[in-house]
Amino acid sequence: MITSSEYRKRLGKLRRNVYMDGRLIDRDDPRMEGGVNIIAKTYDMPNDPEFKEYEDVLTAKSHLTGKKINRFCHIHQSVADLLAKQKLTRIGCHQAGGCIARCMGIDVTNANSAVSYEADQKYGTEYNKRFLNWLRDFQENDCSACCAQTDVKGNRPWRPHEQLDPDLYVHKVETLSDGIVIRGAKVHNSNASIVEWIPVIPTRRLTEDERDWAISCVVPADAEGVKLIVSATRFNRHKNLGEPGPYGTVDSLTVFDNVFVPWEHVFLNGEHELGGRLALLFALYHRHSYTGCKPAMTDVLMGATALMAECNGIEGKPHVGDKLAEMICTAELCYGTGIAAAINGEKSASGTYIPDIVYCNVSRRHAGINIYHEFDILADIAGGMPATLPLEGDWENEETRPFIEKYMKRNPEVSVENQHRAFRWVQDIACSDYAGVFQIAGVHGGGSPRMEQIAILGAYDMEKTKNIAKRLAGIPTGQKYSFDRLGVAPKL
Amino acid sequence: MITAEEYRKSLYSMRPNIYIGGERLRRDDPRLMQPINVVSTTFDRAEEPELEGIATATSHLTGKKINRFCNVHCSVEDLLRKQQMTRLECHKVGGCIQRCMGIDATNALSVVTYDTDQKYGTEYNKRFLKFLEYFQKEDIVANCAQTDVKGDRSKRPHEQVDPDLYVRIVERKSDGIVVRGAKAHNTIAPYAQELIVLPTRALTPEESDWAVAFATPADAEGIHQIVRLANMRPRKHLKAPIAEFGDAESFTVFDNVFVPWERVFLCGEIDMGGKLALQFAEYHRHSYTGCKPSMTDIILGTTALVADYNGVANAQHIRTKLAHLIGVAELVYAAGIAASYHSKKTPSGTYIPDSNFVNVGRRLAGENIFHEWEILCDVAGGIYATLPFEEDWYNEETRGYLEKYIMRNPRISAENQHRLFRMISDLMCSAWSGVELAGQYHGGGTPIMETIGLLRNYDLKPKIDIVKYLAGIPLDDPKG
Repeated sequence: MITSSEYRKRLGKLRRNVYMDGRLIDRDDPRMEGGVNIIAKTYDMPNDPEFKEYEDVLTAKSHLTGKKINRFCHIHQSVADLLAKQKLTRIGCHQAGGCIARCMGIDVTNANSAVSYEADQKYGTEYNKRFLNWLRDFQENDCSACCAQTDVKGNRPWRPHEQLDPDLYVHKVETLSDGIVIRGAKVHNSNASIVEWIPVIPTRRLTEDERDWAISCVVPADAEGVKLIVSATRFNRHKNLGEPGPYGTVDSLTVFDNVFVPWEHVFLNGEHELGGRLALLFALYHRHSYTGCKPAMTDVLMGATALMAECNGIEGKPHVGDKLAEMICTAELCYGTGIAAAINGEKSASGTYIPDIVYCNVSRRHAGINIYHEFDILADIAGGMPATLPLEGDWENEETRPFIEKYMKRNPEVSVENQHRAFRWVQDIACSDYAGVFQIAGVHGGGSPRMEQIAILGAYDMEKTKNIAKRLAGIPTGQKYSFDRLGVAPKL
Repeated sequence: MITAEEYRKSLYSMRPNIYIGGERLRRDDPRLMQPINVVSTTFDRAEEPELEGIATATSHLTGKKINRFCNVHCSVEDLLRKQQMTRLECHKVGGCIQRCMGIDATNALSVVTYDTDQKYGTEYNKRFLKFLEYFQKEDIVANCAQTDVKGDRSKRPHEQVDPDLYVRIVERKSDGIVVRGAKAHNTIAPYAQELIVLPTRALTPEESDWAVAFATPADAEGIHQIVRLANMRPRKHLKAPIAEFGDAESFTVFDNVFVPWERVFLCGEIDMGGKLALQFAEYHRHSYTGCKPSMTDIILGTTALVADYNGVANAQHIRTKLAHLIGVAELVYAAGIAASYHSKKTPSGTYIPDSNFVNVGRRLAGENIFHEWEILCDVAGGIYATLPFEEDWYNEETRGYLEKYIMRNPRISAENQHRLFRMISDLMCSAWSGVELAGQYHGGGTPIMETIGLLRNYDLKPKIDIVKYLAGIPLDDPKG
């Protein structure tokens, strides 16, 4: 396992291929530091004595080498691994005050682990061997990865092969003796500019006409032809408040302009039905990650709400309790459902564990439909001050500071300085550009509630529930009346 | 284990102390048959090979196979199986399986009698285990009489003008105690052999007479059960399982009832009274994480089927509603799984589910129940509310019209359309449905009770500390 300074050093060595606001920029550009600080945290936590009790959560034993590795590089070998990943995500996000950013890497590697094996079983290919070779290095070097999944998708009613420009979904444009060449672009690609590897997978089910789009591969983030056009957001950098971070995020429009991928990095090449399964499995793993991160986000908003209530002197008022209870319910229903998804997880042919599809999706859907309401609760209890708080400089100006400190004062049990810190931070979490990105990610990241609905209805055996009603109504069914929805990990 | 037939026989031999609508009834009165049918299924299902290990368990006292409704949870697995059993058995009866109160009350007693003995050197646990052995061997059906009538809600038990408004000890004798008072909303009591009586709330030092728990035969001298039935409308021709079921609640009066010492499980230990009340509630909320998803399954299946019959199964707004129902069912069920998985072994050896997960599950269920009925109402249309009576379908003068004009999706026969809408009428517009709705909202604790439970048990401090850390507020600052 490496340290965060090693991670930062590696970023510095990457070829310059990141563009922001009209310029080619360095990866240590201060505008991207929010995201870098978060990923750095994932390297620091396993080495931090403060987190000693979470050692088995933060690290895992590689099934390839038996060595201790950062859990973000691990392939789930058991129900316990799925539970540990969920917990890791929750405590990591607490540290960052939001998305821990490195989950995409673990989710895409696990999906590739299962699907490359299934492809080999079906077609006699050797994708899994290649994948495991790559994974060995990935784990050994404690690498960071994002996941380039969402294609730009062009005209939405048209399928990939029907688009006027076939590049609107990333596809293979040439097969060479030593590898393939891909072209296209992926969007909403969080963290692509601050990781070493960009795994590329399909975004949807594919038809027989779309074999060239059924590609899974891994690409070094600075490979020739890769261009990252990014937008970055972060909490404000404060001068004197002593908070950690700043934390933030960076999202990329990732262009693959005829990128060569050697065979050893190609894990799917034209098996269109497995392309769809890979898309689905990554989404499934990622929704399971949401059962960890979304409760953490609610924890943060809940803690902020409780702290605002304390600052405002209304702690313990019944309406505050009601709202906190709502947040507790959202957090623990999502987390509890992730636990159920893990416990009902199934071992796939590759040996990799896959969480239950219905539980992952009902949890992610519940999180997605509640996110704005949670911000609404925080706004309600905090009052308007986070939105109109005087700028930090006015607290440093001797002419204005006494007025602010006098008139800012609420609960006498809390020092005015700490009240300032609390409101300043709630401003960051509720009124910054990062906060807006957060809210939209809370609805759409990992799949919008609508996508979960599609997955739930696709996986749920509605005929069985209809039979319960038919039997009670006296309509013959010829079926058993009771049903139990056991694990329903997506099958081939 | 006994058969449903033996269960019925044992009921019929009990002293008639059931009052309905001004009459005193025997327990073989036809009006009680629909509720008794529900509980009878719990004996049948324990014999189904597919439910072996789910509807049955192994007694930790005797090692013998018992009905799971008599089991004390000795592992995470036991809690998961109880939840699963509850869900599966409710499917068959179209709603509440009713026998859960017995298992929830015995488990609470198992935990709290042990703790009381540790603290006070009493021997309640020994007595309880002896009672449990009988309970398991005879495959007993029990009600849990918890909710006191409570009188003036702003007054505590000892402050009431009439102290009997909470059940209490009125006399302590050499061979037992005498209790007086009344319990309300006692589902299953008229067709249970035993009543298990527990306190309803935390008690203060003045209230040692109210800190009482015991088991009594449901027909013991001095017990008067004043019962309200909630049955489906009986059918003449169109026989269907749903119409065979119902339930009944008793307003149970304890008019100087003698309880021998061997059946007294708490007697004056006030601090343990509140614990027992709470522990029963937690177990019962865990049962709700099984029964409530089952009720949603029934609503979901009915909604999907009626959408099919109405020919609108693929309409997007209906798909969205189905997904919402699945969301509620599986979130609640998953909360129960998480509560089981995070359960704790108590000193008695009995496992208790995690309080927070149990409460978030039960609360979501309670908040959604009326909305689920609304979804079915929305998708089904109005016909089940105005459906002509059964006889009109068998009158040759009107039958032809009804069969012609009930038709919707032509793939479905008129008879099956009739069957479905008659069932929806039972689910939505019967005496039973109103009680079921109130039961699903309040039973096991109203959402506000879960809110109180959560705010009491959930540790908010770590969450505040996360934010203090993020905001840069020192954790050890006294002014922080």
